[in-house]
Amino acid sequence: MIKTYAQVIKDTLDEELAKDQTIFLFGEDIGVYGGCFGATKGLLEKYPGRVIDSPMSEQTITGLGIGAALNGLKPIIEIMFMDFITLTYDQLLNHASVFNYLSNGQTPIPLVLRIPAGGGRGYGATHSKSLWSPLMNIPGIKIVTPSCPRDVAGLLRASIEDKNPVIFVEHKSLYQIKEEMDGAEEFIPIGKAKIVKQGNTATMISFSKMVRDCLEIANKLEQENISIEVIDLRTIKPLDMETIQTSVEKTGKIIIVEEGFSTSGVSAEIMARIIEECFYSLNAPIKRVCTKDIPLPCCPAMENKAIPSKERIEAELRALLNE
Amino acid sequence: MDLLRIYKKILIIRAVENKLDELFKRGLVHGTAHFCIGQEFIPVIISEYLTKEDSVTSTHRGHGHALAKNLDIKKFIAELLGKSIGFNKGKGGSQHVSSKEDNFFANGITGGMAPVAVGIAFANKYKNSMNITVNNNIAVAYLGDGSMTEGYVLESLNMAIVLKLPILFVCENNFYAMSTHVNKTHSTEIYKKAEAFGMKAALVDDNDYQKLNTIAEEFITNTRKNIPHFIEVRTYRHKGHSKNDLNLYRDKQEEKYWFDRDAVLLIEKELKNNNNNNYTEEQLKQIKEEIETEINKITEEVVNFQDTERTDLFEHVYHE
Repeated sequence: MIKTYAQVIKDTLDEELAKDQTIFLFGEDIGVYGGCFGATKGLLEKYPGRVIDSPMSEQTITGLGIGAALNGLKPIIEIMFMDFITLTYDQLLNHASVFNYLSNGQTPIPLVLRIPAGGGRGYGATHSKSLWSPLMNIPGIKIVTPSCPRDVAGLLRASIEDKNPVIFVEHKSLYQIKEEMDGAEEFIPIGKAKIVKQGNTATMISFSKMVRDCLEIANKLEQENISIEVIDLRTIKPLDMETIQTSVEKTGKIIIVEEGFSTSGVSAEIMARIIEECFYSLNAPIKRVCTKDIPLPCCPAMENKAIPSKERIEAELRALLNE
Repeated sequence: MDLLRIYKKILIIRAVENKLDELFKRGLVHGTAHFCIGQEFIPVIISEYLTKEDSVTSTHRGHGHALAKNLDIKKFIAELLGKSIGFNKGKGGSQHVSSKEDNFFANGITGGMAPVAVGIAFANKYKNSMNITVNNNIAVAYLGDGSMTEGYVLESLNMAIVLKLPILFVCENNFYAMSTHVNKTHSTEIYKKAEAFGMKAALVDDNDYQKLNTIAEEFITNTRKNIPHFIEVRTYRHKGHSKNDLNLYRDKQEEKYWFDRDAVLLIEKELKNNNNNNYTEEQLKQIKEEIETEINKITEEVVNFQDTERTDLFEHVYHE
């Protein structure tokens, strides 16, 4: 059965809503409109009273989710674009992420926050960012980044089951990607990366939509008999250093590819962890390909230069191979 | 209205606050504290109409909110003294006391609990309407005059009305957001802001505890019917914003006006003069002394409790 990324989100939410009455959906335009990207289409009709169209109040949407989780429900809230995560930040950092710790486990916050990252569609500087880096800095939350339709259900179920606040980061350019769902994992544990292509000359570490680009490039180099390993992190917080370290020891050459900004990015954190934990297994400095540290311009000619393009990724990989 | 019970509860809170102030000077409290002396009657009267299942969210100035909701005094003091026998094992401190069992949650971000209280109220209504747990529990969100200029607090008022939630917002307007007078920070009277959102609101001024009692009873009854309400209670804090503040920015005449009508004095007058009550000065003095003795005893027990080395720094960052 072939499904799009958006359809899998919808179908998984449908199954979970049917199983557990304490689950409800809350966000802007998720009900009547079916979600900005169609990921919740039809759910309001099926579950009246449990799919709620909110006024535009991201801070209070998040707080409402936190309070409802505190009081025994399992909220799945949606923030429409990752650029707007900024408006939720105080509630995530100073409320959601501290309650379980300060209460010594009495008040877990089983909240799922769905949000799409990603540029490349010309939506402009305030609608195109992948702001996972500031979130990675928050103790006590988890961040999941499904890279393909086949991973959505497994990661979403795990996120819903998890008793901690989980940021479920979707991607605008992935919603309409189709895949055969046969054999897709029903449950994918949070915090476990996947080697999506085995290799031994260099390792590409990526997550979210860029995994697809990395696979394409790695398969292209395979034609030249260059064996590239590709890791799909699947979760960026907590980081699966075990899988990363094994690959560092195997290939000694690492390139990190992600759509966040370069400075202080997730890539920087991964680099720091590799240097701390398996520096002596490296054969070359770690490379990273990130979005340039600029506000994202709108027109394609410029946007494509800011966000990692396949050309730029391939060039950096080849440079790494020559180190 | 059981005035004697209310009076005693207020005295307990005041005794704890005074004791904590003394402990600070003895160097036994790590961190800061924001005392609610002068404002205690507000949560005490509100709590007269709350059950254990009703939830209360609280602020940095929340000691009175906690004790009025019957949180255990010893565990509360222990929390402020950083002991492992405190409500949060010393991890929360003055501004972050919480008790799931008592449905009490304080946090240090000004106004930050307003959206959370909205969520708590939402869950109460949802659980009832979905027949998960039949209830008519409410959420009470305490707020200060300072918090009423934060955008997310105003968002919360709107959300409560739009979703028809069982939530009561109680604004303790003590005229100062830290050192800044309400005349400089607010464009209108505070309760009128709630009215502008379409919320039923009331004003209580001059520490009028009897008016608060009447309004609290009516409003809480109606809040249980999924109608949000707002009460602005004008009052005055006797001490500074926090422990080091000398109140140099306050007008002396204003202070005198409010110290003269401290709720404790007003209640004592009622207890002594009213035909139904008729307590003597001596009797009230004795009640006060008994309470202070009890609080002293509890406090010394906590002070003398010695923790062994703490090894739980990393526990509960995540919930397994």
